[in-house]
Amino acid sequence: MLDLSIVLAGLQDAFTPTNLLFVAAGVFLGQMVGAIPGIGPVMAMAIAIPFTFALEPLVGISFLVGINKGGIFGGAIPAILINTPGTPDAAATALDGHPLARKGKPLKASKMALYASVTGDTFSDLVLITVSAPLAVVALMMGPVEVFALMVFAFTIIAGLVGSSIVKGLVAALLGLLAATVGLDPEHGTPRFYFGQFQLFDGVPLVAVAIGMLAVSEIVIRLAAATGDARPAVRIAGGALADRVISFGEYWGCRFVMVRGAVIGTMIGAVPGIGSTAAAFMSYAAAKRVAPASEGFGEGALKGIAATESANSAVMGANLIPLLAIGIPGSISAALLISAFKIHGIQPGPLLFETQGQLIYGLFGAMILANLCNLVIGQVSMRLWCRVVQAPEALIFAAALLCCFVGVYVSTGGLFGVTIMLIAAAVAWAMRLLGYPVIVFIIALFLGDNFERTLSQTLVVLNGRPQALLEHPVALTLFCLSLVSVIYLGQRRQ
Amino acid sequence: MAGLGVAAFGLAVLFWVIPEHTESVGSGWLTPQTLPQAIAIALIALGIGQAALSIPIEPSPNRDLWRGLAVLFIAATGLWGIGRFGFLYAAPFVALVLMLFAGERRLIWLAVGAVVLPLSVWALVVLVLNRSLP
Repeated sequence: MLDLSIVLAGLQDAFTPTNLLFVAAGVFLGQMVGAIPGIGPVMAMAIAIPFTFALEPLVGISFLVGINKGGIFGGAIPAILINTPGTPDAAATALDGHPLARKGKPLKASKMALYASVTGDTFSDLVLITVSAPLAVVALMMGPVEVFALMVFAFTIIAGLVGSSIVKGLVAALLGLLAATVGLDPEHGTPRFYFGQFQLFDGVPLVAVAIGMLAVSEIVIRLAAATGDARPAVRIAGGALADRVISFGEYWGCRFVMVRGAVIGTMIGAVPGIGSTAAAFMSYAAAKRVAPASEGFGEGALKGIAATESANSAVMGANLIPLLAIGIPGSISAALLISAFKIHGIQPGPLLFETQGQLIYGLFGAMILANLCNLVIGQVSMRLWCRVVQAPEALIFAAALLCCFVGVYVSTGGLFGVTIMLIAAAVAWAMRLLGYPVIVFIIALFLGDNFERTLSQTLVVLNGRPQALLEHPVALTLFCLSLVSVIYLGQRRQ
Repeated sequence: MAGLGVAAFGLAVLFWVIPEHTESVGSGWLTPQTLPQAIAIALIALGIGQAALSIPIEPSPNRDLWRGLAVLFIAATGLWGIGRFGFLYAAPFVALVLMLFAGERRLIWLAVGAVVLPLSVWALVVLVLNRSLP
């Protein structure tokens, strides 16, 4: 039964001046890093996590959520201005955004992207707020056998949908699970794979690995490919008022496209592994299919921008549904939030609504607040981001590397963590060269502890009798679905 | 080749890493070796499967490969330097070397990257957040 006092207390926590300040700061930072091609909100979140250690849990997590939301819109700006998406999901936005910018209407295109992004984001947040609590209640009815089966199913889906090959996806998942076995084993407390380094008794430092694999490996790749050439100049011409603003009539004219995009993004976001890029392209394709030829898709159609931005922004809120309801991250940004939760001693999962209800409803309030901040900051900072797009790559990535060094040093308390970060970066760089999905590795690493614990509980419950699985039809069904998904996705991908 | 590498890694984990770096226990359904062994066996099978399926890899330009290794080397050297000489002295050199390596030649941006940014990061962490750096 929903306790309204907890909901109100959570919302009260969300709307404090401190929380508002950090949400706005997160959104501002997210829009800025999203506007710089190559950085993106995921890298910014990974680097920011250690710095949230000093903050209250709600404030720290709201800050990270703000970065993610701001970054998703921010990626549209370089896509529109210089046809270089700041984030992968903005690639679809460039299809109509850049042509409209070339017609002398870059501000109009950017504002349509902003309004559609906020609309889609708000829609999925409302869905998240509505369904995650009831889903968590259902999840609590599941025993360890069902939870273990669900994790196996989630791994097969994520491994199958991310990357180019399910075999490589499964290899990445297994490597992540293997890395998670470093440290004290959860059953007997004996040390494993610590190679004489006592700092590994608690396992590999998750923050160091996440930053190394997500941020530093990307920095290595970008610096390796850099040539020192300046980015093309961006002109925000004056022009008529109608070419610089979106009228209410133009926004309202895109309402069906935005709703369709928001629904597509929310449905795709709730399924682990698919991601916002697919949502953006699916929404664009759906909008183009039903639009008359006169709409001019591909030539600067406002509906083209609205379709992609509403969909890719709607993914973010929905990604948190499996995280909050059952503790399984639907995306890499959700996996990073697990790290943030753990830093503050909070274990994500279905019990979160019972043990940390005030925090969760505070988070919901902060997400709605972040949408408002996204709208306001996006409106006033548009011209600033147009300048940021031109920042030299060498400076940006050198600065980001220093931030990674410092962030990991501060969060792990020493240079050992920074060493692990560099090793993880080298591993991720090699994985990317060989085509193994790094995201799957990280999700498996983050869930590995839980995976082994539920496996142990499953074996105890089954008492060593495989036939006892017949007494758990939900788990049996999930195991069968896992096998089917491996075969089906394997045939599709190979 | 990558598939064979994965299979070889799985074999190494199964026959060397696990016996050398885990302890034996006499009770419980799940021993310290159970999950790692299952993972190693699965890696061997998947590695062989990947090699058999000959899943192609998109080749990277050689230039980027060597430059990537160079960046990692610079970063590792920077880590050593920060540990040896401290953040305030080593970080500017790391930033400058990386920017020059990436092809940046404009003095103003080199000055920002080598002086302003490391100082700003140091000030943020030490003075504002009240944490220490090497």
